[in-house]
Amino acid sequence: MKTNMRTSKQTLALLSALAAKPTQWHYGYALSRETELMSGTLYPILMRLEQRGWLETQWENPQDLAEGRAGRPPRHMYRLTAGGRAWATEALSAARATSKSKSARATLKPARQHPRVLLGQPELERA
Amino acid sequence: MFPIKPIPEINDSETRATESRQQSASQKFISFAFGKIVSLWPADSRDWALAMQAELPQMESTQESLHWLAGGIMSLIKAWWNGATSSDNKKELAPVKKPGILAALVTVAALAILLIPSANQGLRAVLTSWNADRGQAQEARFIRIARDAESRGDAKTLAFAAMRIESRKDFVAFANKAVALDPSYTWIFSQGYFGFTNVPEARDWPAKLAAFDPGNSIAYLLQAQIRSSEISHDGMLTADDMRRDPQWLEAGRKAMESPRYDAYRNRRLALDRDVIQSLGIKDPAVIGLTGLRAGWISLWPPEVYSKQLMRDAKLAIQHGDKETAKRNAWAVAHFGEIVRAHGGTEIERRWAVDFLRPAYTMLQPMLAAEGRNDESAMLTESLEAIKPGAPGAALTQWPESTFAWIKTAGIAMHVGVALAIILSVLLLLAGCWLLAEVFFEGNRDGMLHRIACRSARYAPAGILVCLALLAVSYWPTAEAVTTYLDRPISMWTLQNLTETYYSVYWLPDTFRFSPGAPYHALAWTFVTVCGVLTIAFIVGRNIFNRTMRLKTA
Repeated sequence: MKTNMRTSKQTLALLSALAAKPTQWHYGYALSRETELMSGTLYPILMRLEQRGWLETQWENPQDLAEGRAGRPPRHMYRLTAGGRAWATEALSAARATSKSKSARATLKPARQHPRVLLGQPELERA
Repeated sequence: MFPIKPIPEINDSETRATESRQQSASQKFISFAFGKIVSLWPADSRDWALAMQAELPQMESTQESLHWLAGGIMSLIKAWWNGATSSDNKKELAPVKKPGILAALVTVAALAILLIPSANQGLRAVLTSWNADRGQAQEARFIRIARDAESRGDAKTLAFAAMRIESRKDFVAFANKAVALDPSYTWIFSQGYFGFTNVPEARDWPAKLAAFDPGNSIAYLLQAQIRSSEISHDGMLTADDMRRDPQWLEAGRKAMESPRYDAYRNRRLALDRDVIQSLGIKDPAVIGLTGLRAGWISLWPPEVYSKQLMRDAKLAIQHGDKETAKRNAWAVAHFGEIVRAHGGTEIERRWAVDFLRPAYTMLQPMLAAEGRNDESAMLTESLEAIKPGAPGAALTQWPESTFAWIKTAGIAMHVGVALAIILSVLLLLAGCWLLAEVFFEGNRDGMLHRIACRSARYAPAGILVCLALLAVSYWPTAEAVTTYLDRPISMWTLQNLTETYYSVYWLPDTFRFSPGAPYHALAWTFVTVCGVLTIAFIVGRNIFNRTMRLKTA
């Protein structure tokens, strides 16, 4: 399993969203709205996470779909694996530490952060 | 009893108000486009495209769907790039074959194409056109030819080279030497004195030319040109400076009053061809310029003088002096007819019209008023032929189809040569690598081995195609050169020469002289070719590589 992956702001935002509810399955569209990432950014990150074994994917079972969604194609769902959760915690903690040290140094202007880099959320500690 | 399978807990917060909505035309288009994305997606990761597609029905607006589609296209490009550059799937790929006898035969065939004259000449012409210092190189070449001819006492070749030299001082020096060797080449004085560089050694040229060919207006046109260079200030000269100069105006008067006009175009073409043949020159940069420059001299001085005559004629009419008016108008018309009859170029024909139109316009009603109906009718007919917009009055423009041919052939030959060079280098490197593998131990299944094998197998075919493209696209140029060298010179020969010159040189010259793009033509060609190769590489790896396993959802 490859472990080297660039933790960009976008990756951190996605990890944050996935790690907020680690046992729950997430849809791509919901993740896109939550993280405000365009699909062209979101899916390549999801693909890389899956390649590295940090993301578990699953197709919806058509038989399990609610009545109102009959005829719709099954959707792809995502959640972090155990290894992914551990790595996410590590990456988010490191990013938070870096962010704190940067904001301590930046006295005149605040550090630019992605709005959805949800550092310091209580759920992260649990993950 | 059927087992009840629990539905996984899903974070699906968005409202599904849109689920029952009818698909609009735009959404149908987006669905269709996404279907195309899925079909183009690399097979081994196509489930990701399906995953993106499956989210489309959740979109709440067309704008969102369009954003999703744009993301799909971006992801597709990234997936293609990853597919082209990733080595993750290497083990799944079939082992590459080494180049065999077929590759060797194709290489020989590609080299054999270079024996075709159009491919051979085309390759040299295109490579010459890429030389950023081509002007200086040509200048140095003709100076060498001139010195060599001078040492051999070859007046003809010396005259040829002198007329090609851009530097006024060198042109004057070599032209004087050629005429000293053989005075029958005195006419070359009229063939290269352009611009405002004053060269004192050429001051006596008009007198020599007038003595060589009495009655020809060309000596006075040269005198006006030399006078322009004498009165210019650091190469700057306005039209008013010239109009106010009595000597310049006098030269214009003498030119217009001369009984003959011969710019020595035919002598120049014949001399050029003889020397080009004897030197074995096939470069369209040299041959094409024959058609462009032969017999070119400005007729502006007599035109200025003719305007003065026509102004005087109008004043004379106002004062009732019709005889003076007619005399002036006939003088202008006479010169116009001489230029029209003996000038061989489009530009000379246009100058002739500028002389004839005002003169005949003035003369026609005067002759009609005198009852000279036959002459008046003849002038009416002549005026009809040269009226603005008439076929005989306008410069003949190249039709769009000619421009299209010139540009298409130009692009084809330059891209053909650039690709052939790149592929040849690739083939050479691949050959060296495979040869080294014979002598040295090493990994025979690595990426470089695979690239070398594929390059050695497919590059020869690429070179063959590129050289064939060059041979076909340069063929009209080679034909024009052959026609010029082997058959009697006609207007068509010269037009073909001019076209062929542009077909080879317009692309590098466009790159070189376009504002904002002052880069070397080779750099642009390199960028274009690299772009084409990269796209071909990515598309080839993703669409045509059927060895990848389809991972089904």
